[in-house]
Amino acid sequence: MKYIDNQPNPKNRKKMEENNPPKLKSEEQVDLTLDKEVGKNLEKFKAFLKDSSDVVIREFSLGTQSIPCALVYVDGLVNIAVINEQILKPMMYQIALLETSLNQPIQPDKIFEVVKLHALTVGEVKEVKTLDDAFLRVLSGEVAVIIDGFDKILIANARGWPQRGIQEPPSETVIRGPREGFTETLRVNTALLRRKIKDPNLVIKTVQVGRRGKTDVAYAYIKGVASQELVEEVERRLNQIDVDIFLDSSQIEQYIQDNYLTYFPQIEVTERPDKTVASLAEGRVAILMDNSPFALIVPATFYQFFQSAEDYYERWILASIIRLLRWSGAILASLTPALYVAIVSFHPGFIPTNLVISIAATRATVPFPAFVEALLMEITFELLREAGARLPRAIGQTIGIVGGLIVGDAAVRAGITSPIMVIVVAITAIASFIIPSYSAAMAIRLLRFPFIVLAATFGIYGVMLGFIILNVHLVTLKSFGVSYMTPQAPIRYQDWKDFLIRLPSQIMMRRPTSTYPVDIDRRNQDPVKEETQ
Amino acid sequence: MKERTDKLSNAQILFVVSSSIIGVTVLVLPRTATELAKAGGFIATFITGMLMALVLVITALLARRFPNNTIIEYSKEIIGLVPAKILGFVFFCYFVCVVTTILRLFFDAIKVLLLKNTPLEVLIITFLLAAVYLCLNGISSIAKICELFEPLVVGTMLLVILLSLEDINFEELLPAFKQDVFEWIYAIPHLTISYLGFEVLLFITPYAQDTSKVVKYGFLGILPSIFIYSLFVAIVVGKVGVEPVTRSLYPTIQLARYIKFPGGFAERFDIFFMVFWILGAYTTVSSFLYLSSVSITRLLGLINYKPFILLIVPVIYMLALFPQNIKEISIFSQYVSYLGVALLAVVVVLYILTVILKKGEALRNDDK
Repeated sequence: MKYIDNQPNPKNRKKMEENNPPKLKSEEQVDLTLDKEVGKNLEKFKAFLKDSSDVVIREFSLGTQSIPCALVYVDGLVNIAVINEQILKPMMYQIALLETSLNQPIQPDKIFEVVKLHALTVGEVKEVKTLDDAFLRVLSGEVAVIIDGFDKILIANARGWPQRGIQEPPSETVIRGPREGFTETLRVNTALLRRKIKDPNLVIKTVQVGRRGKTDVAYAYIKGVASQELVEEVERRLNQIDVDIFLDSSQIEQYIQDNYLTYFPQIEVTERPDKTVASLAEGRVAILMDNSPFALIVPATFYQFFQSAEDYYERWILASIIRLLRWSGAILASLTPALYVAIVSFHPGFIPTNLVISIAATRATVPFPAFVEALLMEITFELLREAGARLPRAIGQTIGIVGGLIVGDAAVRAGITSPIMVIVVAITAIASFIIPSYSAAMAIRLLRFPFIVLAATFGIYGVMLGFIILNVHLVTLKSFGVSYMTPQAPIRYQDWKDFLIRLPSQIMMRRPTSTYPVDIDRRNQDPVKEETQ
Repeated sequence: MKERTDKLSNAQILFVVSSSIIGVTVLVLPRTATELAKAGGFIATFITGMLMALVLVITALLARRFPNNTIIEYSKEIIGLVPAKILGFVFFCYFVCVVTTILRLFFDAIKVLLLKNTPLEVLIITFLLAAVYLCLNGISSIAKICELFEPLVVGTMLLVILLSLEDINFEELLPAFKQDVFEWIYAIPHLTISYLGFEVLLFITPYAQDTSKVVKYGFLGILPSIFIYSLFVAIVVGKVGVEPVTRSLYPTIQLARYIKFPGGFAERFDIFFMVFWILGAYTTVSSFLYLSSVSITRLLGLINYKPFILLIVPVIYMLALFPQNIKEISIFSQYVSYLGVALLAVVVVLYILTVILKKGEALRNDDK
C-alpha cells in the first residue's frame, strides 16, 4: 500500500504556537480520572460541555436517603421517553418505593449494583471508568448515570434520533430482487446483514475512525469463509487511518485503497444489502460506516464492476447475454470515438466503400478535422451530463432534451458536426451507462479522451498503443493483494463460471478462488464446526 | 496482504513461452518457407517446429536442473568462468538483436499497411517505451499481459485461418509429396527464427511456482505456434500458389486481404489482422527486452535489472534504425537466426555436459 508519508508539519506547530490557542489555566485543567463525588464529576463534564446548548445535565436524588445523582445526555440523540420511563422513574421513584416496602434503606456501598441490576430497565447498560469513555458514549447518544460515592459511571443505551427509513437504493435499482437499501445508520445496516445471515460465524467488528469524528466503522466477514490474512489486512489498514473527520465511506475508500495514482476503482461500493451479503459469502470483507449508506467491499477485481445483483436473480442465459452486452458496452464507450477518428483520418479503406462515401458526404460541410469534431462533441456531451446530474430531476430532464435534441440537431444543421459524429457520441453515452458501477463507468467513459488523442496522432496503431498501456496499467493494480485483472490475468479457470457470463447456480458451487477463501465449497457446511476451527 | 505468490503459475509459463514464440516473423514465414522448400514449405515448417519442440524440452530440462538460477550463473558451474561469461555476453547480444529485428520487421509492415506518412523513428520509439513500461513492472506483469493478449492474438490468427478455408486449391500443395527430403532439411535453419523465443525458459524458471512442471508447460506452449505456422504456410500456398508467394512481401497479410469479412462491416481484413498483430509483437518485444536486460544484469553479478532496461533501449533504438532497406533487414534477421541456432546448440551441449558431469539437481521422474 502506498501512502504519502505524513509527518506532522513543523510549520503548523509553530503557527499554532504563534496563534496562541486558548489553553486552560493550570487550576482549570481537568483530571480525566473520575471522582467519587457527583459534584466534582459534573464539574469535569461541564468543563468541556458547558458551552454546548444541546447537552442536558439533570441532577436528582435517589431513594429515601437522597443520594445525589445526575444524568448527562445529548438532547436529540436520545429517546426522551426511555429516559423518563426507564431511567428516571425507577431511580427516583421505584427505588424509594422498594426501600419503604422493605423498611430498610439500601446500603450506600451497594447502591451502584442495585441501580444497575434492579432499577435501570433498559437493554444495554455498561460501566465506564474514565472520562474519555464517558464522553464518547454520551456524545454518541447514550446516557451517563452518575451516582455519588462511586468513581465509575453507568452508561445506559437510550439512543434514538431521526433517521431515514429503508428505501430503494437509487443508484442500483433492480426489476427483480429485494428493494431495500442501506441507510445512514450503522445499526440498521448491520441489522439488514444479520437478517440475511443467521449464522453465528458472521462477525461484525467495529472500530472508531477519525480523531474528532470518532465515526463507527464496522467490518463484516464470515468466519471460516473469509481468509484470515484478508481480515487482518482490513483491520490493519483501518487502524492506520489518522484523520480528524470522515463524512462518507468513500473517504475511507481513499485511505485504504492500494493505489491512489489510478482512476480505476479498487474497492466495490454498493448500497444493496443483498449484494453485500453475496460478497461476504464469496469470502470478501464488507466495510460499513455510520452516516454512510454505502458499503465497501474488498477485495474487488475489474470484472466485479460488470456484475449486477440482478444477474443472479434472472435466468442464467439472459443474465449471461446481458453481461456480454455490458462488456461490449465498455469497449464501445471507450473506443468508438477513437476508432471513428482513426478510420476517418487514417484508414478509410478499412470500412466498406459505400460507407466511406456516405461519411465523406456528410463531413463535406464540416470545417474541422475529425479529431476536433470528436473532441468538441464529446466535451459537449460531458458538459450536458454533468449539468443534468447536478440539477433537480425535473430540470435535469429539460437539460437532456435541450442538449440531446436541440443542440445536437442544431449543430448538425449549422454544419459544425456531421450526423455520424452525433451517432458516435450517442452510442458512447448509452454504452457507458450500461455498466452497473458508477465509478467504473465514469473511468471507462473518460478513457475515450486519451484514446481520441492517440487515434488522431497514430491512427489505429495509436489506439492499440493506448490499449496496451491501459492493460499494462491494469495488470499492475492490486486490490488488497488480489490482482485486479483476475481471473483473466493471472488465469483462474475455476472463476470463469462467473466472469464473462454467468453459469447456472447449480454449477457455481464453489467460491471464487481469487479471494483465497478458507472453505472453497459452498455445500456441506457445518456452521458450528467452523466456529470451533 | 501480499498475494499468496508473485511467482509464475504453470499456465503463465505456458502463456509466456507461447507468446514469446508467436511473433512477428509469421508475416514473412510463408515466403521464406516457400522460397526454400517450394510446395513442401508447410512440411518443412512442421518438421522445424517438431525439432524446436525437442530442443525446447532439452532447454527446459537444463533449466529444471538449476531451479534457482538463470543460465548465466549455472553455466559457470558447467564450463568454467570465462567461457560462461562469453556465453552470457553472446546471449545478451542475441537478445538485443532479436528485439531489433522484430521491431524493424514489424514496423516496416506497419508502415506499409497502416501509417505511410508517420516516420519509422517515432513508431519504434513509442512502441519501445510501451515495452519499457511493462518490463519495469517485472516478470509477473509480463506474464499477466501475455495471458491477456495471447488469446486475442491466437484468436485472430485462427479467425484468419478459418475464414481463408474457402476455395483453397489443394493441388498446389500436392508437389510437396514428391520432394526431396533434403530440400526440407535445407530450409530448417532459415525457419528456426520463427520458433525462437523459448530461451525465455532459461531465465524465467527461477520465478516459476512449480519448476518440475516447466518441461510440460513449456512444451505445451510451443504447440500452438507449430500448428498455426504450418497451417498458415499451407493455406497461403494453397490459396495463392507457390510462385506468387515467393514474390509477395508479406504473404500472410496478403492472405488476410483476400478475406471477405462476413456481414460487410470491414472492407480490409488485413488491417484488422494487423491491429491484433500489434499485441503479438508487443508481448514478444517485451519478453525479449526483459531477457536482454536480465541477462546483462546477471552477467555483471547485479540483481536490479531495471536501470539496464533504460540503458539498453537507446542501443536497440539505434540498431533498429540502422538497416536501410528490406533486403538488409532480411539479411540481418538471417544472421540473428543463425546465432539463435548456434546458441541452442550450445544449450544442448550444456545439457549433455550437465548430465555427464552430474551437475545440478538430479532428474526427477514425476513430470509428463
